[in-house]
Amino acid sequence: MKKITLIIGIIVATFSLQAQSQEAYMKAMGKALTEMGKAQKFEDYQQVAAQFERISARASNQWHPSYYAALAYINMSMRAEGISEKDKWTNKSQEFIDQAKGTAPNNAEIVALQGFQHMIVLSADPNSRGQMLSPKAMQALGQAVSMDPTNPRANSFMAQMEHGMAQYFGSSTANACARAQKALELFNAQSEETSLDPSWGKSTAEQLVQQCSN
Amino acid sequence: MLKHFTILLLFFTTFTYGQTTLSGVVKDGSGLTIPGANVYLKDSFDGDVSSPEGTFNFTTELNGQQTLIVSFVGFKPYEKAILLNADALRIEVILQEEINKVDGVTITAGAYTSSDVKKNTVLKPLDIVTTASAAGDIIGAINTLPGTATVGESGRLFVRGGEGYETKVFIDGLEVRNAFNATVPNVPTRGRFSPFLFKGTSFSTGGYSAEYGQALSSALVLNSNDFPTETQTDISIMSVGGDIAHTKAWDKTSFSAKVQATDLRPYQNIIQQNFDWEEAPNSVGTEFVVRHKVNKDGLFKLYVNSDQSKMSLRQTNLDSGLQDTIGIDNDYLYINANYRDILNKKWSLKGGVSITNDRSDFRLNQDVFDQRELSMHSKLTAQWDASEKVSLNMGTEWFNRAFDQSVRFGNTRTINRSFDDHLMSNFVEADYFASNKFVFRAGVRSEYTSLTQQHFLNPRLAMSYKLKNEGQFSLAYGQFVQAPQNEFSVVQPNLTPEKAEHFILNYQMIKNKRVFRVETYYKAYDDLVKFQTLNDFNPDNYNNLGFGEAKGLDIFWRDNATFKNTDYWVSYSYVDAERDYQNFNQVARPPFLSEHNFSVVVKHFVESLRTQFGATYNYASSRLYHNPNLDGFQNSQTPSFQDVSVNAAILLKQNIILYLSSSNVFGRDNIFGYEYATTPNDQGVFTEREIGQAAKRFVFFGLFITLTKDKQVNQLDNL
Repeated sequence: MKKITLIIGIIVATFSLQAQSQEAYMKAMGKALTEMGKAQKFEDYQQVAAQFERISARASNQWHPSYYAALAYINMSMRAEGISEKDKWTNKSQEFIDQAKGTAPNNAEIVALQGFQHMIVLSADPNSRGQMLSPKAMQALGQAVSMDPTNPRANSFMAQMEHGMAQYFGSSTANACARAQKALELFNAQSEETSLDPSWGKSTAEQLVQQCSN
Repeated sequence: MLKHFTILLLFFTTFTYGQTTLSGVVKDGSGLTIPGANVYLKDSFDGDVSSPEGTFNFTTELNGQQTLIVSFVGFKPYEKAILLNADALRIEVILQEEINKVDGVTITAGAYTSSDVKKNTVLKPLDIVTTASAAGDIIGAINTLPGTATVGESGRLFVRGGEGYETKVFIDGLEVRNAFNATVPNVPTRGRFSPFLFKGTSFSTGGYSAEYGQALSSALVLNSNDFPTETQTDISIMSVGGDIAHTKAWDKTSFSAKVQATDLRPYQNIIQQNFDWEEAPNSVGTEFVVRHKVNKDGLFKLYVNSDQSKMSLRQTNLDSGLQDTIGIDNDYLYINANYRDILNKKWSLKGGVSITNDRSDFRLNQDVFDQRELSMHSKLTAQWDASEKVSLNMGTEWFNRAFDQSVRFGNTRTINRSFDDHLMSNFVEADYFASNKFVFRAGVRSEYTSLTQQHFLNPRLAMSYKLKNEGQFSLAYGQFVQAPQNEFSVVQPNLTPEKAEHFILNYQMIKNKRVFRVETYYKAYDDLVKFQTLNDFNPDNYNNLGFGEAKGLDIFWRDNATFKNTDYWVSYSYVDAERDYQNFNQVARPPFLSEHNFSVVVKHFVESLRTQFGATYNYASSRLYHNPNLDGFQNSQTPSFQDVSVNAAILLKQNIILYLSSSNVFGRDNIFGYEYATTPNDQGVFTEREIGQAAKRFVFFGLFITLTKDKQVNQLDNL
């Protein structure tokens, strides 16, 4: 009897610990996501990246923390000065993209982020990286779109790439604009429900649609 | 029940203590504060990021024994056990720098690397193929770097007072014999390999690693592309020929095939040539590339290149005054199979075999020199990252060279000669990273040649020290041996390898897309091959009594930042070299050497035209030549060499590029030297002829089309 009580006790304790840690996880994620929403400067994103990095170390079975850590590092790279400084942060973001891919293989959201990351690495030195990285970015984004045709971010980044290339070569932007429009609709259709899933990136699609209508 | 209670109690006591405040500062080894470091408690969400002043401050509800972790990019993670009991804690964290073998200090003495991957590069692959004077030849682009000399009638790489044959070409670490197209004397050649095959090049002007041998002056290491991303077809239509290539990529395997035809006949019928061609150079070639991913890191590569070429020209014989016909037929086959794999975090392996089969028939009127070389290089290397600070590269190699020569004088006499050499080599080299500022390399290479049954032990040393700014100093030293050229060994197989010794001091600074390099060196040659006259068939007239030295200064400046969309580089080399070798009868400056070489390469991209314009200026000061009508040896000087080349690459569509280029736009009549009759004429004068350019200028245009499913790719990196 004593034994049984003990076992039950332990089970209860474990569950409550788990519930407690799940609650702590959600709380930490919630706090970090709120801060990410407000982040503007390099330092803000550094703060946020550190938080997600801590969470990902603790909750290593979840892909969300590594996804957002990578996104925060990408944002740091966008705000850093100089190629080698920019690369330092995109390299760091790659670590977390790989980690996220390991936890959640075949996740369109992570593959789309990989495509976006290639775009940012490319933008650090477009003259010498364009040739090598633009096919890589297109490949990743194409993969993300085929995995989930309704992913707004994958469609939006792809529209961005297509639009840039069409403009550069003076060819028709119709396809790119149609995709941007579709991406925007997909953004609008995203559920309002708060969840940990990514919902960012709508403004870029809006800008592109705006550009297309001009 | 009691136990149960105890557990519950333990469980709840977690909350009975209050909060603990942790604060402190994060510093590096030299006491400078580190902002942005992630400071947190292990297995918790509690933590902070260090402020711009390096300080951190956070509270936690955890207590008891906990682990504090501090991490920051470029430093080793820091862990410390702490006891939390609601008393405020103040901690000073010192982070230790992490040794970065890729982006930290690197050995740069003598080395010009170009790669997509590493950042500390001087040239990128794309730079090589868009250089105006290069006309798509890797060697042409390398020739705009300091340490090289313009030798217009040759087209080979002459490095730091060394002859063309002293530079060796390697593909994926394996030797390429006859890396240049076969040609006749005074008609310049080109490298055989398309720049499009390689993702990176490493050009060493001396003091190179123990991994490379059998080169007295320079090693040009070409690293072939990895797995292709897409299935595509490439079509090139050029003023001098055309090619078609198809690449098919599956999940783990890819296959490419290419057929190319080069024919200068139509071009040379239109544009007037200084050479009297009987048959202008023409060739047909094929290429096959296979890539297979064996596992995550294991990659097998196979490359096969075959080529048949022909040319012949007429020339007045300076002795007889009659017309000579000089021609060459060449059959070439190169196979390179290699495999590399990362076994684990500490060990990686590379191995492979290359085979070159080269046969040339060189004809002078009725006389035929038929030469065939079959050579093989096999190599196995292992890289061991013994510790964070030490890595070891070691390997074993076997070179085999079988050379046959048959010389037919009309129908009267035939001489057949041959030799077979086995060369065994082992090397080991250690890199010691004392810190991110200081690296030391020591290596040794042993070689045994079966031809003369000699053993050589060559030390190689190098070190680099990085200064506070982005600058660094490098030193390198090395001893090198190289087997005598085939034409000499076949006459006198007892000739011993030639020797060289290099001392190099280098300073390099790479900052914000600008590169500055200055390098000074001293080079000593010994045991150089000497003989009486060229094509002497008496073995007794050959010996190893030659020697020489070279010293000089190389300066390189590249700037990709000052002018928008513009990239330019400037190279200057000064070299002072003298030697007694081959048919010299005293120590003298060799005929290929110009003391001052200078080049400027400019590339400018005009976005509105989608066109990259390029221009190259090459200058080489006068060269010495021997005029038998005057007293002394190497007694005369050529005028200086000057050339301005321009090019334009226009992106017509996403997948179509038009490329135009012209060498020597101002049509300067460059003279490389003079040749003389072997005997004086009736007036007692040796008749002379200038050695000059094939034509005033070489104009090239090409249309490059790439067909893929999504039409995203073009051949820009194919030019």
